Amino acid sequence: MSSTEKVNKKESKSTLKFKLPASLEEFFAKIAGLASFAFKFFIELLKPPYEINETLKQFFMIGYKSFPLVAITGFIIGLTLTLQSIPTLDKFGAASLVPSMVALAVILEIGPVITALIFAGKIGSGIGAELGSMKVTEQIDAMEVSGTNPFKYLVVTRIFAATIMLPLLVILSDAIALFGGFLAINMFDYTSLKTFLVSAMANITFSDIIPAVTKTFLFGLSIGVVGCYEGYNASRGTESVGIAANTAVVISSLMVILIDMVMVQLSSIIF
Amino acid sequence: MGMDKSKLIKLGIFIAAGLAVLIFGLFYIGSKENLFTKTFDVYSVFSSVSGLAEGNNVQFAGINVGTVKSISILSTDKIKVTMSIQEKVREFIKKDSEASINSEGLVGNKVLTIYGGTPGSTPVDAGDSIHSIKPAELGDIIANLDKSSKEAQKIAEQITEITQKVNNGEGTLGKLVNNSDLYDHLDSLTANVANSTKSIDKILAQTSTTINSVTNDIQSLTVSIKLITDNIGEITTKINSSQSLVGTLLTDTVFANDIKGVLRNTNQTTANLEMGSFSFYQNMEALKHNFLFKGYFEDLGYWDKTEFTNVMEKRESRILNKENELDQKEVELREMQKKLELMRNELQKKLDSLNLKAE
Repeated sequence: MSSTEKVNKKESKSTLKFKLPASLEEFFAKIAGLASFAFKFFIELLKPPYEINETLKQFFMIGYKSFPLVAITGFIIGLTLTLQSIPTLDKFGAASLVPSMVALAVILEIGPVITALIFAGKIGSGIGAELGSMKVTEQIDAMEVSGTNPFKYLVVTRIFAATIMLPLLVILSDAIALFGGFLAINMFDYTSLKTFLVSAMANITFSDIIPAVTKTFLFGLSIGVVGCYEGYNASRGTESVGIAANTAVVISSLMVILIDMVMVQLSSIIF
Repeated sequence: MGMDKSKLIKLGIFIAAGLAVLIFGLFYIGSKENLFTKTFDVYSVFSSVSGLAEGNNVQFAGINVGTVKSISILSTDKIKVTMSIQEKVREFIKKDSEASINSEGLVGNKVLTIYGGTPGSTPVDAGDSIHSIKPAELGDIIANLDKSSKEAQKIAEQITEITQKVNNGEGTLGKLVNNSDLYDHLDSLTANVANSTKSIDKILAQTSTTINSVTNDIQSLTVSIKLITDNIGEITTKINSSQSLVGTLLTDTVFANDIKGVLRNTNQTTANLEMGSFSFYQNMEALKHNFLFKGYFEDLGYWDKTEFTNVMEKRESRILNKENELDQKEVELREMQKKLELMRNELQKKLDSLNLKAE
């Protein structure tokens, strides 16, 4: 019996002494399932043997393959944000603060969140669908039978890759967004790249950078966990693949927003 | 299951690019926050920090030299602001420097500005206190603005009053503005002034020509004066060199004394001549009246009493004239001596001044 089925059996067999609505029961069961899945991920991550080749492959698939989408998104966000900010700030005579404002917005909030949402859409659904179809076609069971730990090989590598690659993607996306902002400013007036960068980074401190980067690890982790959980626990049926992919995107996107909210509050307390 | 090498390279590039941007960002912000430079701490105590926050910049002469490290309340009206300043600027911040809290622009961030102390005084040490200047509060500025606007209102009212009076033709200015006679007078005056200006132009042109010719004359005169000065220089040199009579007179005191002696002797000789001529006259008179020579003189016609008397009177008067002339000569010679003395003094002075110039 696979570990997935063990979790499912526990959920289905649980007889509560108090009655809850079915959707709420499902919701709590999912929270518990995700928590135990994440916990298992950390345990399996630290335990040898390490699937280095598969991890590198997932780095490539999850990180490198997502870069063009993330880059285009970042560029357009930087460009449009700047274009829309210039006339507004110009009314207050604060057009010189546009680079600073764009940099703050992109590095602190828009860059990480938008990139994470795009990432959730692409990777969350991808992992969900991939693992879901593997589950439906009983490839996971086959792996277990052949002596390979499917959780370690399929889940740990993907979650780890998502956790490590998303921060990198966010950093690159931020840089590209700032470049987009620079181009947007040059549509109105000439500014050198150095002047733009000095002005942009003028109000950014370590206390801004650290929580912004930290939360991207959590975004990646949550997207990986949710995607893998949904795929790994897909029911046996063709439609469950689609459901797994869809649920993975919805929940991981929601998780991104929730983590963002908590991290903003936490960073304002700490820094 | 190994990975394709090209995929590995692509992944490597992707990771390296991401890390490069991260490292660049970290170092850029780190250098801005002085994380990688050696710093030292100083503090300043303010009564209010006007919104200054930890991490705000510390400026010295308009340059960011550090950041505000911490802000703590010591007592009701004492806020201690500790700042972290780059070690390399420590020599420029003196013990008598002053710190003030300002804004970067009207709505910008707060900055702590350090004003340089006396150039000769000793630099601050780590942990020193810098004297603070009370920051200009926005409330104070608004209060001042309010006061200024009230004053401006009063001024505006007074100006309105004056303008009304002017419009009504009251007062000197009102008459000036409203009376057209004045304009007519001014018009004719302007015409006269224009004519006068033309005349003045002519005079100026003539004067200019005259000045030009005078300038030319002065230039030629200057050349002449230079020549004269050179000649005077030569003359002075010659005079001093005792080669000439004047030089001898000026420089040789023995010779001057000799001249005095000669003059004295001349006087004496003149007196002797007078005496001699008188004696000779007396002797001749005696001979004429002597019985031995009387006839001879009578034959010669000398012995006519009236004629003799006349001749003697004439001779007497001539002798007196000579005597007067001699007296005059003596006076003239004395004057000449005085003049020579004066000339000698002047020449000596000129010589001294020329020697000074030459030095």
